[in-house]
Amino acid sequence: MNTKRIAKWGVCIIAVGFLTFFGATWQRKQVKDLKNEFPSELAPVFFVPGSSAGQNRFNLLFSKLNKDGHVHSVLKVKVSRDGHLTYTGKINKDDPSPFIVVAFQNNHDGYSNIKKQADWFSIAFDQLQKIYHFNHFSAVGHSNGGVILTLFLEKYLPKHVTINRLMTIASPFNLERRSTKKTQMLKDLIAGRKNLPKKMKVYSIAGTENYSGDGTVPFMSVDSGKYIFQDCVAGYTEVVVTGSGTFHSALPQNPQIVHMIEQYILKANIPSNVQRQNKMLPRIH
Amino acid sequence: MIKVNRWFINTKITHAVYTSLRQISSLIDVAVLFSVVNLTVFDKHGFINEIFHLAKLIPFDDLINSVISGICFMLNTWIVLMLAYLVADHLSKQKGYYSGLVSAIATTIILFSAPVISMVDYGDLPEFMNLQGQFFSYILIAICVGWATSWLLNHWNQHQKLVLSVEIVIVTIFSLALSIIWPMWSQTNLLAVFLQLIPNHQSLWLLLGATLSGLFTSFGFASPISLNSSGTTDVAIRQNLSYVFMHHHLTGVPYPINVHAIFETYATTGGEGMLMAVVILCLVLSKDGYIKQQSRYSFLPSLFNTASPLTLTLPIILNPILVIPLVLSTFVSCVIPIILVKLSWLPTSVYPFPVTTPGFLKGFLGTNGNWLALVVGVVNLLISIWIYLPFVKASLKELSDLEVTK
Repeated sequence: MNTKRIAKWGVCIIAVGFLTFFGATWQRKQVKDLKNEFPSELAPVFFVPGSSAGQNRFNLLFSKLNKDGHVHSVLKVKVSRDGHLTYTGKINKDDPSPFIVVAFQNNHDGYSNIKKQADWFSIAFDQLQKIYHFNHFSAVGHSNGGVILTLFLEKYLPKHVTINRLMTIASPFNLERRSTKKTQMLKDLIAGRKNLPKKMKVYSIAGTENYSGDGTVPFMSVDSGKYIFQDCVAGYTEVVVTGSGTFHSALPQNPQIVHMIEQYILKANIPSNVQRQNKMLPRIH
Repeated sequence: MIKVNRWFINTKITHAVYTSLRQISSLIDVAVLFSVVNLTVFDKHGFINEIFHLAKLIPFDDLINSVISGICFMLNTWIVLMLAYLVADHLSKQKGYYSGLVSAIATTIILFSAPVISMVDYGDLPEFMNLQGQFFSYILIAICVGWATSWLLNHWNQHQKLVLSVEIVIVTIFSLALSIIWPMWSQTNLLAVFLQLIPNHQSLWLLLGATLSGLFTSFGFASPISLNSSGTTDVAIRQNLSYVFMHHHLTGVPYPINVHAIFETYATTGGEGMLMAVVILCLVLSKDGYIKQQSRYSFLPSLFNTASPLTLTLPIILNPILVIPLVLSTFVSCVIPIILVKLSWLPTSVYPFPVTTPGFLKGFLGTNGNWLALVVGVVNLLISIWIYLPFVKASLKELSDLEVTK
């Protein structure tokens, strides 16, 4: 009787040990898989202004985006020359897609400055990520802001973080050059394109106030973005906006561009029929 | 306490419920067996299915899963209707089947009006009536309907047709009103809703929720802390996971105390109310053939946290003496990990695991292999056994005395 009881308990203990071992093995693999797939609740949208612009560059755009529907909180970060960060505003606890503007004390033009600004952006990005624990985000860059973001994505993006969508507005990938001859910056960007996140979708918007560009950035320079992104990321779309309000500094608050940010970056306030149309999906009755 | 319990157990209605439950205990055992096998082996998120990667090995696992879910749905429905029938039949003064039939008809109306009104898809019906769904709420409803029917027929036996008509009208109005006032009444996670309103002092609210959950389980209601967390808890889980994946360690997570990390991980061994402790005690202490047999049947379900049917066959619901240890063991099982987490000795359980993971393993898996979490899981079970011990002893004595007097 006793032997029988000991045998029963022995079987139970072995079974429990067996379950523990296989459970732990399974969980280790599960955690690894989760790590790769798990998107954080918070997915901020970064906004980077162009040269000569400050942290308030997007104020008008934000007031338009926050007009109806979900109100996004706004955090502004200014990076000084020595990498020190100054914060204005805050991210609301319940806001899954806050706006974060990253501006620079040295906001001058030129490739050497753009390289420094990409480095400063990475300092701000790392710090913000440590505070807010996000592992995916989207970004909008106006003018050189788009170039800074592209450089950041090629050189500094941490491995465990992914970018969902990038929108560059009138970004001069070939600086102010009006020909197809590539500048050193474009050559470097093309050389680093293999480091770009493969799942990212890129929207490049060009303004054409006249036949050659938006008055500041030539269309050909914006168009050079195709050498960087085309066939390298999940999707690359170029959009040309014409008509009134398409000069360089007016582009971020241009109604059509605001609509595109809502549609492609925030994926909000878009009627389902339009979304379906955009995805080219058949209507389901 | 013993006196109150003795009085309660000897009341006519409790007697009728216990007798009815014993009569359908085989049906309950079969339904539980099907459920456990389905939930652990054929469900894609079942513990056995996950750890042995059975989804890749078993052909047509989805089909098998839905077929068994359908069988469980039918068996569970039968259990509820039989209980309504038998309770009314035992309490009725008249011979014949009439009161039982009226009770079963009224219960059927309540049972199906909610899914019909809320337009539950035909394919989702099994989920509506499984062990994690509203099965236990309906058990209590069946008992109430059985009692009410017998009372009506005992008083107005000469107007049998009128009683049937009136009861049909009353239960229909009741079901309609309930569906309109509170459409998802038994699926609402009360604690998650509450925690959203009060973001501070999460530990205190969690303990209050755990205590309430124990009380609800004792009375046979679906627990207000659902096994499938949602709302705030869900956000907490996601934020914690996000933090851990970024920092590669479990210390300093933004929400160290939440329903998943404490209640689900450490206080549901065997099912809500640390029921594995009762199964082990009944196995060791019971001399009575029926109780011993039931605890044997309940061992496997309790290993995979589906021992709740045990609350019917032993019985635990409607047994006042077991309310105290049920609530106390849940409370203590939450307090221990809360203190250890607050002292930073125990990492927070962050990772998800299948609902059917053996209770004492949940902490170990939730922390991805922390040995102290495994120790806490086992210690919680041992403390629960210690808390339950005098009460189960007394309860078994009461039940065997009841047998003798019968």
